[in-house]
Amino acid sequence: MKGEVEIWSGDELVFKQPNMIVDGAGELLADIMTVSPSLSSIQNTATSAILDASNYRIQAISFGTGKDAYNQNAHSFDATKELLAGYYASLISTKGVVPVVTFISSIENYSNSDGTLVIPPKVGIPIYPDPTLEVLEPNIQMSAIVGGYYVSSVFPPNGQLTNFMPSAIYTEMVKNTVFSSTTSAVAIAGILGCFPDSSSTIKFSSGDRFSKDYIRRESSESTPYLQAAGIPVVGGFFNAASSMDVSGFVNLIMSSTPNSTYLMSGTSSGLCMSANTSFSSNGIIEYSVSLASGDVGFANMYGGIYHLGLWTIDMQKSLQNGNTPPFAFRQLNNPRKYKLFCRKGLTKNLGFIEGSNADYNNRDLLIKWRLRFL
Amino acid sequence: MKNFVDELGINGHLTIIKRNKDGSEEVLLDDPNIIVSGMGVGLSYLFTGSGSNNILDYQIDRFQVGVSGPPAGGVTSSINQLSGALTESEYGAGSNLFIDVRSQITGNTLTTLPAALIPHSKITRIGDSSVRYTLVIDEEACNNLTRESNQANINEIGMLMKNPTGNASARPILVCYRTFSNIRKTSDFSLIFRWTLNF
Repeated sequence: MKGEVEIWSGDELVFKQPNMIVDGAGELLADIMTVSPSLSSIQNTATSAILDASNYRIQAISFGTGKDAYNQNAHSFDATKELLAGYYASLISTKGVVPVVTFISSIENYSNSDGTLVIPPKVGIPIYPDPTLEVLEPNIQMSAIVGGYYVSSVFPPNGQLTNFMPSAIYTEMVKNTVFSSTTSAVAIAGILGCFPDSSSTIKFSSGDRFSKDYIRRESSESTPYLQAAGIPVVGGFFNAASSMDVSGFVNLIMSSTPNSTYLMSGTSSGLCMSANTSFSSNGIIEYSVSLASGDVGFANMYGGIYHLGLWTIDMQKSLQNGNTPPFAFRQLNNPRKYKLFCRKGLTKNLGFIEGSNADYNNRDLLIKWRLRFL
Repeated sequence: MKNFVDELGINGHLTIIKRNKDGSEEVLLDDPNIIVSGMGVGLSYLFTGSGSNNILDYQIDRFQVGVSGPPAGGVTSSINQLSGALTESEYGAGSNLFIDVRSQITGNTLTTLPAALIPHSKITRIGDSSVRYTLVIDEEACNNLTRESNQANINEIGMLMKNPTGNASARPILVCYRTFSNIRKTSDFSLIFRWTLNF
């Protein structure tokens, strides 16, 4: 145990386990110890910015699932769906939403007939705990084809749940690619997922498709979650706050330190870091982030959440990609490249729901991740 | 619950080599060391963003040697200073060591202590997560030490993080420590400490 992860649903503690520090943490410390002091003598803002300590702290969290999930669930796309691609275009034009399609055949044990999002996704066996891991789930292969082209040839999997669904993201990402048509673009967004836009996303309904429900955000709903009956309501924190980049990294947005008089930002706005005034004697630092019910519900349609990871900035990769420090977080073309610092593998899908049929709803979740340095 | 430093597996290995004037070498020690709580304190300042904004302040850039090891309470991770750290003059006026005297963080207090700076050229990354520090006490340094008219022999060493709190005047903190058998340092030889930290 180098730290522990707690997951809360309201006042209920649903999960508490130790985490795993991976080799990337050791590499980060070795990076720190060997940064050349000569950089400080160079009168160049970008160069001296390399020495900014914020480049060497935890800056993001991400979520992942088992590798088999990336060929199934809403990640799958086959000819049957493609025949219906025109419908995608009509949805995007008439409702401004991205369809999320899941086949009954890709669901392990679907038995709920009322169209709710109670999905035990197919994920296979997620990667076992391994301190040498550099991504949440290695060796992911996606077989989805759109317009005759493998999706992974343009957008290779990066080991975690990505964030392609907001129109501002996927329309930019497909530019100058073979998926630049409106129909293909929407299909790409629907396949790569995995977190709802702040406005609305719709789940496709036809024949043997999973649900007949529309999922959309209702601003009048103060506590939106997926409902078992009626029109389900969903919204996502990450894209409402623009805190997650296209690769699925949720940015550290605020902390209670260095000045304890600073107000903590809401955990729905991104990853927050806090420590009390005794941190130098107790060594406890807490990272927290909230997932909206919609974030959990949608992630569940793409395989659920079995992995969590805390990331620092990978200075070398960030520089090699032609970026100039300081690296300001951006949703698109994020100049920050990340190095995995610690991870948590879950034995139970965070999107798993249990309870009576009337209570088949995802709830908002709060993740608290504590690292102990002393 | 174990802490981050323990579970990350930060450990060190110290090799002490005696190099005589004729170039011959003798290994005096080849053993693990102790990572002390100062490492966790320094990293806490870094990761909370409460300390220095300059990453160089979190580097291990200095070392101390002493003559009173091991500590009376035993060698534990709570050690925050050497038992008998050398004074500035004891390092030797003619040596090649650059001595920097600072207020060192020693628990909840500050103690003014000298330390020898480690040239960056002597800090070598030898693996993805391993760094080797080569500390040289040359022939002119730390020779023929006495305390209270008695011979004082070198028997402890520690390395320090530069200034994790980001104070205007650097406040180092001890991060690793090791005692060893008495070495009566004379001008007939130099001592080379090869200290490898695995993060």
